[in-house]
Parts: sequence; C-alpha cells; structure tokens
Amino acid sequence: MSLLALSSLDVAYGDLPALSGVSLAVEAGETLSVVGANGSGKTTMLRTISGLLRPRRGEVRFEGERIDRLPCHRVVERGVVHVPEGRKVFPSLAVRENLELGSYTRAARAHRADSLERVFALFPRLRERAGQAAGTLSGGEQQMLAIGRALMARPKLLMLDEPSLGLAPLIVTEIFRTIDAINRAGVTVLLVEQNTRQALALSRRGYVLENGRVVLVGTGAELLGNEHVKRAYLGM
Amino acid sequence: MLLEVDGLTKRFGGLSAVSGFSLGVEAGEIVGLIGPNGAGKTTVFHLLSGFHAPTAGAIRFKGVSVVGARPHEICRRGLARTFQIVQPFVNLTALENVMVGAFNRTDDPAAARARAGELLEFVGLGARRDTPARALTLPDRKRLEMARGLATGPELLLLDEVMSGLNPTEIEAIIGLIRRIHAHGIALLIIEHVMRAIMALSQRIVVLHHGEKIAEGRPADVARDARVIEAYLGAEP
Repeated sequence: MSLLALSSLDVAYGDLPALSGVSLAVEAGETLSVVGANGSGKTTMLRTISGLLRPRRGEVRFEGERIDRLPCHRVVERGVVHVPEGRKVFPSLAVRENLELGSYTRAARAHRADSLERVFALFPRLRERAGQAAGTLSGGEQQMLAIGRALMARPKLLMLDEPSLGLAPLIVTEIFRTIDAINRAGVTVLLVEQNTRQALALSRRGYVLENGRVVLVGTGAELLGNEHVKRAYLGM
Repeated sequence: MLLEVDGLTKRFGGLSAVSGFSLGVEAGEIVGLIGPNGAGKTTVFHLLSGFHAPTAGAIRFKGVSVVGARPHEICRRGLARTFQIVQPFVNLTALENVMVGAFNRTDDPAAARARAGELLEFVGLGARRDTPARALTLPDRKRLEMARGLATGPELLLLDEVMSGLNPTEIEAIIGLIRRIHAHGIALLIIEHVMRAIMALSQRIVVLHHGEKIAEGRPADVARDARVIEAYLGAEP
C-alpha cells in the first residue's frame, strides 16, 4: 500500500478544469517530485491533498484511508503537512512563535520542545534569530522557517511547493541538501518545483504534469534523460 | 554615462540596507546585479526609481540628479522598472494594463492603445490582449510586466527577477525577449538569481552583499571570484 494515493482525480475552478484524471502514488520513505510548466496543476494538486480544495471526482487516500472529505486541520493531524509556495510565514510573529504554531495538533504539542530542538539543529540560523520577527528574515531564512514550522507538526509526508522560489544559488543548494536530510531522517517528501534539474536529481521518482494531466512517470534519472523533458522543462 | 550612482546609502532605523554603493550604466548596456537574499538589490531599485529616498549619495540619470524626484517623474525621464512580485491591475485586460504605461508618453487613448497593442505583440502576448490580467499564467504575467515597463518609453529598464518561478524552458524564452529589448537600444539593469541567464545576458555584473559592492566585472571573472563564490554562488553541487 502506498503512503499517499491519488486516483482519477478531477479538480476544477468553476468551469475551468485544473486536474483531469490524475493518479499518483507516493511510497513511504521516498522523495517524489512533480514537475511541469506554470499552470499545469502542480499547486492545485498539493492544495487538494491538503483539503484546501475538493475534488469533483476521484479520491485521495493516505495510509489507505480517504482524506479528501476531511477539513485541512484533520489532514494535518494524519501527518500530511504542506509548505506553501511563497513561504507564508507570519511576519509580525517571532521565529519561535511561528515554529510553535506548527505544533498545534495534540500529538505534535506533546513533542514541542523536542521538535523545536530538532528544527534548530537542522537550521542553526533559526536558533540565532528565534526572537526576531519573521518578516525581517531574508528570503532564504523565511523558507527555512516555513520548512521548520512544517516539521514542528511531525509530518509523515512533507509537501513542498517551490521551496527554491526567488532564492540565491547558494541558498537553493542548501535548501535541497536539507530536504534530502529530512528525507533520510525518515520523512516522505512530495516536492513540486520549477527547478526541474535539481528536483529530479534529488528524487527517486518523478511525475510530469501538463495541462492538468500526468503525461510521464519515471525515475529521476530517466526523466532527466527524456527528450521531451529536456526540451520542455530543462531548456535544452 | 546614462546612469551614475555614487556613494548611495539607505538606512532603515539602525539597519544599513545599502552602504556607499556606486554604479555606472552606459547607454545600451546590460548590467547584472546579483547577491544573496537580503543583500539590498531590490532596495537599490527602490532608490533608483524614487520609491525610497536615499539617506546619502547621488543618483544621476542622463546627467541630472533624480534624488528627491517622484517615481512618475523618474519614469517620464526614461527610467522604468518592473516588480519582483508582478503587480498587474488584475481586473484590466492585458491591453489596458500596457496602456497605463503608454500614457506616460501620450495623452491620446488611441495612440496609447496602438502602442500597447504593438508591445503585446513584441513580448508575445498578442493573442492575450483582451484577457483580464488575473487570468494570465505566471510566465504571461512576467511578459505583461515587461510590456508595461516598455510602454513607458524607457532608455533604462530595471528588471527585478523576471525569471523567478519559471522553468528552464520558460526562462530561455524570456532571455530571448530581453535580447530583443536590448536590440532596440534600451539599456538594462537586471536583478536575477538564475545564473545561466545572468551570465549569458550581462556585459558586466555587480555583486552586492550586506548592502555593499563586493565585486564587479565581466561575468566569467565574477563567477571565479572567491568572495562571490563564498557569499553567493556556493561550490558546484
């Protein structure tokens, strides 16, 4: 049984279809990336898994149970945690407060001190800035905070929406390295990225979305070598 | 020299966002401005375009100081900018958005409409002219942002991360568009994190770190500079 399974998912905004018949499986322990052009439905997919959007048809199962009718906070309680595109940290709250907000579920709250220590070990910069308002952090630090806040919820599946967006090369490398470390520590990762090359290089498997449909599935290496992927997504 | 910046400094309370920054841009040149997040790049754009007043320093455009001038006055003199987070008027069509820029040079709606139409064709949005901006995809919004800047009739266009959020193939298309803008004789100062693009486009690159210039030179030299590698590029993964 896959950790997460989408089957024949249709999602629309009014009359506008965003996902059509999307099926996808995330296996426990892997890093899986979803790549595709802007507007291909990647963010919609993550928002549907999180319960922010309702599918018209099809279902989402996590650990074998349907989650597509659950409100978001119940989805988080199951262990599915979403780091949204553009970080979305609370700018006027301190770094520590942002992190604490990540551990609001009953199960996560019990491990708050523990989790905080783990996040600070992963991102020493956040410890240095624990008392500082999140809005004063640089873009890279805000991304670290957004990931740290998600880890505070003790995810089984961590979903990241364009974590490299707008970041300097050195920080992008650091963020990808951290995602790999999080995965090695046992968290399954579902990664959505425009940075196609680095995302596929990090992932065991990848899916390519076009116009709301899955058009290719393969290992990261297979997709990096695929002629269509090279032309459409790697600029080669 | 089209743009001359000398000793530019901006402090927010106790924080120095930009310190003693100097820069020159020649007519028709493409200059890249790079640096870590929080280095002060966008603050430099805010200062050049009159959105912030400098704490100290000089900014001259075509030999005339623009310090203290309002953003629309600076734009009228021929210095236009785009925004990192694209800011279209979401309920206006693509054409109407670009017309807003064109009114910088004309009061005649027919002339503004004609100019906006040409520029939409130029950036590759001809088929989207009547689409409301809210319905455009991100790559199309980036093109719209550039068309609107061009419509103001700039001699120098500041581009703030027009490639962020785009995939490598979409980036190639934007590189082509920037080359076509340059071919029309417009100078460009470009903030960008996409190294492949900035290295290919820029004749000269300036590196900002903690609000100060730490390197300046030809792309190949800057890419080898030890301080730039340490502060910004990192070792090849």
